[in-house]
Amino acid sequence: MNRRILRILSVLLTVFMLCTAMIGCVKTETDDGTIGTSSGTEPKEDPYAGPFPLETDVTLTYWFMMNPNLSAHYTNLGETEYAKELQRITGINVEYVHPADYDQFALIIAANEMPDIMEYRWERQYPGGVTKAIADGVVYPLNDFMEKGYTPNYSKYLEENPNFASMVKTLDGQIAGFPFIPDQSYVLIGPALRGDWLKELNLSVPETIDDWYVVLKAFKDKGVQAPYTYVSTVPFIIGAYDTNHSNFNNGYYIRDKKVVYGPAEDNYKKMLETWNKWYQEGLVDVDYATVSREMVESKMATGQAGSTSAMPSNFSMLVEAGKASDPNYELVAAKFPVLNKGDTPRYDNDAFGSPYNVRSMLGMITSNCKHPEIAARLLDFAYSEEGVLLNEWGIEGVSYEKKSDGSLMYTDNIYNNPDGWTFFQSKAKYSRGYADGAFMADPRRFAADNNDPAMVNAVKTWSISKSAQYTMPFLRESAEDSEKLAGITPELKTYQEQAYLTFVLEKDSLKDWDQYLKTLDDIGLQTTLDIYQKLLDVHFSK
Amino acid sequence: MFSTKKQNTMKPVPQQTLSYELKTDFKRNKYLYLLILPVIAYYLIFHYWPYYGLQIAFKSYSPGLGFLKSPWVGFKHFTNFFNSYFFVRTMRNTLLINIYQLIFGFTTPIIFALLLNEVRNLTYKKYVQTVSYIPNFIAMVVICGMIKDFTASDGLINQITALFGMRTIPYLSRPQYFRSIYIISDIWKDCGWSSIIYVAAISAIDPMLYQSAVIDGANRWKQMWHITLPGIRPTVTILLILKIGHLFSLGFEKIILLYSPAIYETADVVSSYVYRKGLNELNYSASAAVGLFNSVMNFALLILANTVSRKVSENSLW
Repeated sequence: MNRRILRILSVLLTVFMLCTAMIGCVKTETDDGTIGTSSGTEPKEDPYAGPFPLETDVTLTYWFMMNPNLSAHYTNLGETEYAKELQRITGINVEYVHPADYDQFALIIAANEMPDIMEYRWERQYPGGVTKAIADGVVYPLNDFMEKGYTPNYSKYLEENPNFASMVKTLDGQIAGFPFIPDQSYVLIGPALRGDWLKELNLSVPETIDDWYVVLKAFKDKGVQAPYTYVSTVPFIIGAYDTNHSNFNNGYYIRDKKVVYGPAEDNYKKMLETWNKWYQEGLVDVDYATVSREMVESKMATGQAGSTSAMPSNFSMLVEAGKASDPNYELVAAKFPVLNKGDTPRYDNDAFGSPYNVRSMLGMITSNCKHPEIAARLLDFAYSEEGVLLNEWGIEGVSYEKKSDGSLMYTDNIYNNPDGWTFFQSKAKYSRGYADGAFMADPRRFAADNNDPAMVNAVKTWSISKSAQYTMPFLRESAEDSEKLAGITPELKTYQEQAYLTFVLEKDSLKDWDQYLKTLDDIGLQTTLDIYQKLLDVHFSK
Repeated sequence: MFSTKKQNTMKPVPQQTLSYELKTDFKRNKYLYLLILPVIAYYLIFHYWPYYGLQIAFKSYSPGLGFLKSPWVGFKHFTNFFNSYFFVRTMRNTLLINIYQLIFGFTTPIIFALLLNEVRNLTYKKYVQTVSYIPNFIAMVVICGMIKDFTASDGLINQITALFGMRTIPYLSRPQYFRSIYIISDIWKDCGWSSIIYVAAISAIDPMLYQSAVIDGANRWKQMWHITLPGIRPTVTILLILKIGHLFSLGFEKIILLYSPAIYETADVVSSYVYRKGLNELNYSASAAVGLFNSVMNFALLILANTVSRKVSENSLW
């Protein structure tokens, strides 16, 4: 009997000791959000600080949404040559997780099932932005890893670019993520119409609102079901009325150093009058409120629609698809419309904002990550010279080659893919240079990307704008203000979106304009204006 | 229960204290207790444990701090909701859709069951019944996809109305059509399935009653009015009470599959608001507060309906 008890006791003791030993190893998160390692287990020599490739059998999970160019031929980024090359260079195993849609972001966080690294537009999509995400303990601030030297390349970039560094830092000096660093911004969306129809109808590319009316009317008379179609995010005529829609920067912009909320301006009402008239006359797609991007593209390709807001890639994809049904198919870019001939167009857009803004793609290390140092090393790689080349150009000799004068050019693997893939699809095989992500852009890429004159012309045409003077700088608010804004902004946005559509879709809807202004005030418009004005004054005084 | 007699005769009862009774009862019926254990566990885990999380409705919940450490804010989230622009709208939409559903959606299965009861050809009756059940087994996502297709600007309904020279209307982007679309599609989906319980209740009515009514000269209409309807009245009342208890709640699945900002005015209900607030805006506390308020309203309504029913008719839940 005694021996049995002894045996049981000894087993229990062993288990207990094992448990405490394991607890000793587990990384603990201290109250101030920094990472501390329990005493006694600190490795003498850090195995993760050395040069690549690292020797580790850790597999990190990496969450990001697949771009259509990537998902065209792959189900996972891990299958691409890019991922294999990245693994070869860094020695870090990565398992990529791709959500089916962006709603998953909130669900994953609500369920506390974050993968190790999550790449998304955190400043905008996480209510309260990065400041709140750190405060909520959802992500690690990077400062600790930076001090310990896990992010040499990113740290170096921030040192050399204090202006950019000041934007990524929260008010209390924390740096949260690895942002997309654009080289130079281009307006990547703008009006485009069927050039062959314009010729057929003997019309020129429209410049003013009146021109556009004539063109759309002519398309309608021609029997086109939807002369203009696009998803209901933003009316492309907005800039002609010298104001801003809630889709960009939530509607706020600067006029003479004062914050203005575009959707509450008289100019906005004038814009609505035109837009409503066009909708009622059938010049704008009858399905304006519910149409999806896929539907827009299919309508444009099949001739059900005559004009849209296009992206540069549409000039290859859409034209190719359109030529199948109509060999004369031609797409021309138009400048953003103005009221009077000769005016400079305006269309507020990220391209005119600061390089770091609410839409910036950010790679963040979540608090679920057990090896944040390795994750930091992996993400930091993208800011090294080698990393930029891999992310933007791919693999030397396979997807790009260096010319004798030092410039880079894609190979025929990309330009004329042997499997018949499009330009951007072939890029997706070797690089991530088809969209933004947690890496640094290469200024040399744009020229190589847009070797198609139609694309180059489109981007040039759309970039003619006076928007830069109106765009708000990226402002960080205090935690208190952030909470106030987090309460008001979504409600304001929901209401404004709905009111906007009602104003467009319903006949005589503008008689409710005053009621609309009153509701905006009730929701708290003035509070938000005061907060932004306060921040802006501080910004200008610097 | 299995061996009651035997144990009673073997052991004389010394004391009749509660704990002793519980003990003996537990000993005697231990297998029954074992049987019910999973059910109790289910309720504890899935229905009572969540009450612990309800505290976040009164806190400013932050996932990093957890349930216990998040600071208390009292009724802030409730007052914010009551003062918000969305309060009146979401409550009104929830109530209106539910009331229409009560008027149209609740009565159609009863009428359908009564009509089925009058069908004399058994094969035909079975056929109609089976066909009417089918929509119930189609997933909500598919149903909503069908609704979208039918009501699209180039969908079936618009193609038919175009034959009569009417204008194309994108029904799902016009607020005035949303409730009708919602109710009609609901009736189409649920009518057959909900009628089962009434068909069952009708079949339980004593056939003798009908025979004696026929002898008294009652025609089919009178039989239905004076025998069938009173026969299923308890079933109707119970279901009605349950339904009234849900007047303030409406599932969000169908709503969020169908709505868009253009029709928030009539389509945004409390549950879709809670969904957006909690899962799109990550404002868990405000979302929980609205949800809690909604549940309390439902609970109050249920008690009210039950009390009224107990007083007016003799049927009630408790």
